[in-house]
Amino acid sequence: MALVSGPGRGGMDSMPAEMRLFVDKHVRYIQSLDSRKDELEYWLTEHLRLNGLYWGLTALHLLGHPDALPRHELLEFVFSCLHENGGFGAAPGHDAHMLYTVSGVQILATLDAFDELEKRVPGGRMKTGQYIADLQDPETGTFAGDEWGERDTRFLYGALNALSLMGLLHLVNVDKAVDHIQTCANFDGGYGTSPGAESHSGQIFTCLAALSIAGRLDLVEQDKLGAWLSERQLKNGGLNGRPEKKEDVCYSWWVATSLAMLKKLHWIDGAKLTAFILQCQDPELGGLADRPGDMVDVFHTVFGIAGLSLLQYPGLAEVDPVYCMPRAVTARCLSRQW
Amino acid sequence: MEPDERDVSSSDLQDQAYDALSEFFSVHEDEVVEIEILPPAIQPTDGLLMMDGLNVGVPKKILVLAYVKARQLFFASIQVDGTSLQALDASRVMLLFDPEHITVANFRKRRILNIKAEAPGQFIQVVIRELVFINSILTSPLHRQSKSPTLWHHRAWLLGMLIPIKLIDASGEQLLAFARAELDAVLKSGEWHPKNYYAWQYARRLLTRVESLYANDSDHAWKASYHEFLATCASLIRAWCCLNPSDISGWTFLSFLLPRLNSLTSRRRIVQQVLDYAINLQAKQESLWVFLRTVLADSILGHERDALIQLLHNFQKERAGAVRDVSPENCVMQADTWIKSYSKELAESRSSQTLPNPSRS
Repeated sequence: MALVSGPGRGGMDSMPAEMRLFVDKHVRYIQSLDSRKDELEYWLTEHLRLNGLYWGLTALHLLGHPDALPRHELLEFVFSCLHENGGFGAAPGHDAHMLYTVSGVQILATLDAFDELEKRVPGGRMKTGQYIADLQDPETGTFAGDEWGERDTRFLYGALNALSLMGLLHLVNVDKAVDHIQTCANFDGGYGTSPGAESHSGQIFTCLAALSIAGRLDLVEQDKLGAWLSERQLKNGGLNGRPEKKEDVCYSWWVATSLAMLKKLHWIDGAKLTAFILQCQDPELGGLADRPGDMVDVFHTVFGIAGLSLLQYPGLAEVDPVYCMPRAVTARCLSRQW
Repeated sequence: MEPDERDVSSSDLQDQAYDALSEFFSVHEDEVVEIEILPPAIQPTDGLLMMDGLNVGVPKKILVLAYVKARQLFFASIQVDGTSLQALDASRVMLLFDPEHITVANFRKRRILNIKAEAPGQFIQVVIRELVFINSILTSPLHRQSKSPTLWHHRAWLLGMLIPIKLIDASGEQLLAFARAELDAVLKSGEWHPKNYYAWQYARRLLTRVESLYANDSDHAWKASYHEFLATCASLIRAWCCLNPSDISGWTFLSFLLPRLNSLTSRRRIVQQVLDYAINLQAKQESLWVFLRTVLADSILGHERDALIQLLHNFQKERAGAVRDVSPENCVMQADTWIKSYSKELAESRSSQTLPNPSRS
C-alpha cells in the first residue's frame, strides 16, 4: 500500500521519452482498423465488431480526438446491428446479446445519437430498454445474456450501465440486482460471476460499478477488497487479474478503477503503473498491447488509455470510473430529462 | 464486403481446407478427438491436415482458410433454411476457430431443440454427439478454445438435457459416473489452459445441479453414494491442486467443495494435507497460500481450524527466525497476518461434527 497517484502535470511535450504517450499514432491506429476489411483478422473478430467500435470510439474521445471516426458511418453500422426486439448483435446478421446491446447503447450515448435512434425506430430507446429489462431473472435479480440463459454479473452491470444512460433504470428491480451482487461477495473480499464463483478483477469491477450505479457501495467490505486488489500489482508495475497471473494492461483499468471507486487508488503505485502502461505502446504503429512487446489490439488500447486517464496522465479527457466512457458523456446522459 | 474470391487458387485451397476438416469431424462424430494447431515449421504431407487416428494437426493457415469458407456457407445457408444441414456442418469449423461466435453456438442449440420437438427418436443421440463435439474442442490442447465462456456455457446448457438422460437408470450410477467424467474433462481442460475460469465455473454449475437433485424429493438409489462421491472429488481435486499449486482456479474450486463435505473432520483432513505439503516443500506459490489463508480464516472447519492455524503460525515464526524473511512478499507471513485480521467468528457450540448443507450467508 502506498505512494503516489501519478506523474507530474507538465504538458505532454515536456515528458521524457519513456513517459510519452504517442497520441497521434494511436489515433491513426484506431482509424485504420476499419480499413482492414481485406485482412483476415477483420473477419475473424466479427463476433465482437460492435464491442470493438465502442472500444475504439472511447479511446479516441479520451485521447482528445472525438471526431476521428466518421459519425455517419459509425451510426449506420450500429443501426445495422439492431434487431426487431431492441437488442443489438455484434455485426449484421449476428444474434442479439446483452454484451453487444450495451456497447450499442454506449456508442449512441457517446455520439449523442438517441434522437437519431428514435427517428430510425420510433420508440427505439424504450424497445432497447425493454430488451435489456426482460433479461432480468425475477427470482434472483441477476441478468441473463440472452434467451439462452447464461447468467453472469457482467450482464447485470451491463444492464444497469445501459439503462441508466438511457434514463430507464426504473424498468428493472435494482434492489434485487443489488441483493444478487451481495450473494456474489466472496469471503476473500472479491466477487465472481455468480454466487460462490472465483474472485476475478473483471467481475469485481462489474459488481462495484453496478453497486455504484445503484448507490450502494456501502455494502462492500472495502478494506478487505482493497487489500485483495492492491495485491494485483507486480514488481514490474503492471497489474494482474488474479493471483499468479501475468500482468496485463487491461487490468490497469479493471483493478485501478475498482480501487478508485473504493477511494483507494493510492493503495497501488500509480507512477509505476503509468510507466508500465506506456511501455505497452507500439511507438511505430500505434495501439497498446497486453504487455510490452506483444501485438496491439483495440481492446488493450482503450483500457490502457482509460487507466492513464484515471491516473491523471496529462492531456487526456476525464474517464468515468463506473462506465469507462468520457465523463463529459456520462454527465450529459445522466442529467438528461428524457 | 466479402473476402476476395478472385484468387482462384486461394478459393480452391479454402474449399479443400474446409472439406478436409469437415470430413474429419463427420467421420468421428461419435468419438472425442484431439485437435492441435501445428506450428509453421510442421507441414502435413498433403498440405492440409496431419491425421493420426483420433488426433488431427491443423496448420493455422489451413484453419483460417477453412473458417472463411465455413463462414460463407453458414450465413448463406441459414438465409435459405434455418435448420440447414450444411450450416450445421459449417458450424463445427466455425466454433473450432472462433469459439466466441454465439450466433453459431445458438444455431446449434436451436437445432437440438428442434429435434427434440420434431424428431424425438433422434434426440438422445444428437445430444450425446453434441457433448462429444464440445468436449473435443474444450479438452484439446487449444489455448484459447479451452477457456471459451461461450463453449463452457453451451456445455452447461446441454447439461439440462443430459442429466435427465443419465437419470433414466434408476440406480443413478450413470448420473454420478457422468458427473465424474465431466469433472475429468474440466481437469483436462484446466491443464491445457491454467487458471481456466470458465471450466471451473462449469464444474461449480455441475455440482450445484447434482446438489439440488440430491436435495429434491425423489427417491433415487444414487443418493446413497452422493457423499462418498463428494469425498472422492475432494481428494481428487486436492491431489490435482498439489500438482498444479499455482492454479488459483483449482484451489478456489477446492474451497467451494470443502463446505459440501458433511463432516468437519474430513474437511480438516484435506486442508491439513495441503498445509503439510506447503510446509514440507517450503511452497511459495501465492495461490496455494491464498487458499490456505481463506479457508483457515473462514468458519468451514469449525474449531478444527485452531490446530492448523497454530501450525501455520509456528511455521511462520520458525521461518522469520531462521531465514529472517520478513519481506512483504513472504507469503507465509502474509497468510498468517490475513488470518489474524479476517478470522470469522465461530458459533459458540462445538457440538456438531456433521453440518447441514452450506447456506449463503
